[in-house]
Parts: sequence; C-alpha cells; structure tokens
Amino acid sequence: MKAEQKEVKMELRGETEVVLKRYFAAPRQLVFDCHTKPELMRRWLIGPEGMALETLENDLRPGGKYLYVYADSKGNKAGVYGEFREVIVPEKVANTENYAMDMSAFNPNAPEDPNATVESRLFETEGNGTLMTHVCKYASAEVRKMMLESGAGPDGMEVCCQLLDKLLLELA
Amino acid sequence: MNSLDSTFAALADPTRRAILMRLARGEATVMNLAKPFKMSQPAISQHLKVLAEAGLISTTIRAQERPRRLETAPLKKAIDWIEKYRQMWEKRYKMLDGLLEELQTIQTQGDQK
Repeated sequence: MKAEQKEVKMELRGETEVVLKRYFAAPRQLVFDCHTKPELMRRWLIGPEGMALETLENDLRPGGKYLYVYADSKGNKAGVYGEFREVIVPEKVANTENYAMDMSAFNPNAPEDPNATVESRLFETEGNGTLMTHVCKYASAEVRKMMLESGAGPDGMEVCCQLLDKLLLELA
Repeated sequence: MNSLDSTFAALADPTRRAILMRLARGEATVMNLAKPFKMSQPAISQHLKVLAEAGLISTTIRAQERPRRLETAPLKKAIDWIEKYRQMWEKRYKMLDGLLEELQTIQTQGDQK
C-alpha cells in the first residue's frame, strides 16, 4: 500500500455535503471496532490541542445516544453528542452530530436540533485494507455555508480546507 | 467580524476566488478584472470591496489607474489555522494506524497458537 493513500482526502458533494476519505491497512471489522468500541476509541481519538477525552459513552444501536466530552487542564469542557440513526456492523454507522460548547448548560434529554448535522461512516474492504468514507450532511446549503463562514465545528473547517486546497492548487 | 471569518466569507464566492487567482498572476485594473465575467463593473466593484475589507487585496494609486493586488497574509493565517485542524485528524488517524497494527499482531499471534 502506498503511503499517500493514508492521507485524509476531502471533497464537497452536492449542495450540503462534505466527504472525507481515509484508507487503513487493516480488515474492515477491526477498523469498524476502532470507530465504535469505547475502549478502542479511547486509544486514538485524541482531543484538540491541550484537551483530553474525558467521557466516552456509546450506545451503539439505532436510536441509541452517544456523548464525548473533552476537557483541558483548567477544567474547560466541550462535548460532541447525538443519536445513532443507522448501525450495520461492520459496514456503516450514521448518527446526528451536535456540539456543546458549554457543558454546564448541556441537557442530554433536550429535544434534538432539527438542523443537526447527520454524519455517516461507510467502511469498505479495499485490497488488504479498508476505505472509510465519512460523509457530513448539513441541514441545508445555508448551514454548510454558515459552517464555512463561522468556522464553527470541525466539519465546517473541512469545507474550508477543501476550498483552500483548491485555491492553493490554482495559485501554485 | 473577525478577520478569519471575513477571509472565509470572502473565499466562499467563486467569482471572488477567480479574482484572487487572476491577481496571483500580477496586479490588474478593475476593467481587466471585470473582463472574464459577464458582470457589470459595479458588481465587480462590490466583490472587490468584500476582498478589500477582508484584507485580501490592496489598491495601488497610479495616475488614473487603481490596480488591485493580492495580499497573502490573511490567506496564510487561514491556512495555518486549517492546517492545525487537519493535523489533528492526521494525528488521530496515525494513532489509529498504530493501534490497528498492534491489534492485528495480537490476532496473528493468537491464530498461531
């Protein structure tokens, strides 16, 4: 397997989606487990600079909820949470994605934001490895644009990357 | 609006990106910039205003001409910021690569027993 296959590749699809692809040199079941089993997720899902993964709850079934909380040394916390929509072991996981910037005001039982991002991860066997396709689908083109303009949330940043990659290629 | 926001807002429009591409080849007048687009000069001027406010272009005053030029500093800032984020995902996936390798080694050893 070539090294460049292991690079994260990002693209825009349609009006509302951002697609991220990454190859892993391991069988599909193993890659799937690493994305869904808390004890394995803890081993690699490191936080943003200076933040560590504190809470990792995953109720992996359609309708089940998940919550990941990152904390820094000063006690600042930020969370990612949502609900699983589709679970096909070891092939696909789809879920809603929300961000909680203020964990003290976080209510796990609050009704879900209808504009929540829906993300899905598809795992396909390719050669001796696995190709992961991660799709983030925003509620509308406006939401995607807003994510881009505000830079809020990791997925918005991916849109920016895509635009800038393209721009840089053309500028180079 | 902070500068990063205005940089991305400015880059979100294909016409404005095209203008930046053109300016990357060298400075140009508003007339020349308007040429490739089926657009009125006021419409182009509006785009130039957004780019100027984001600090992505500057205006040189020379006789009757007002050529615009590309300013790369805000772009650099945006790229640095994005690169940091991309690196975080790369870092995570590299750790995952290591974990996958370890898990496969354990599995292979188990199979051999």
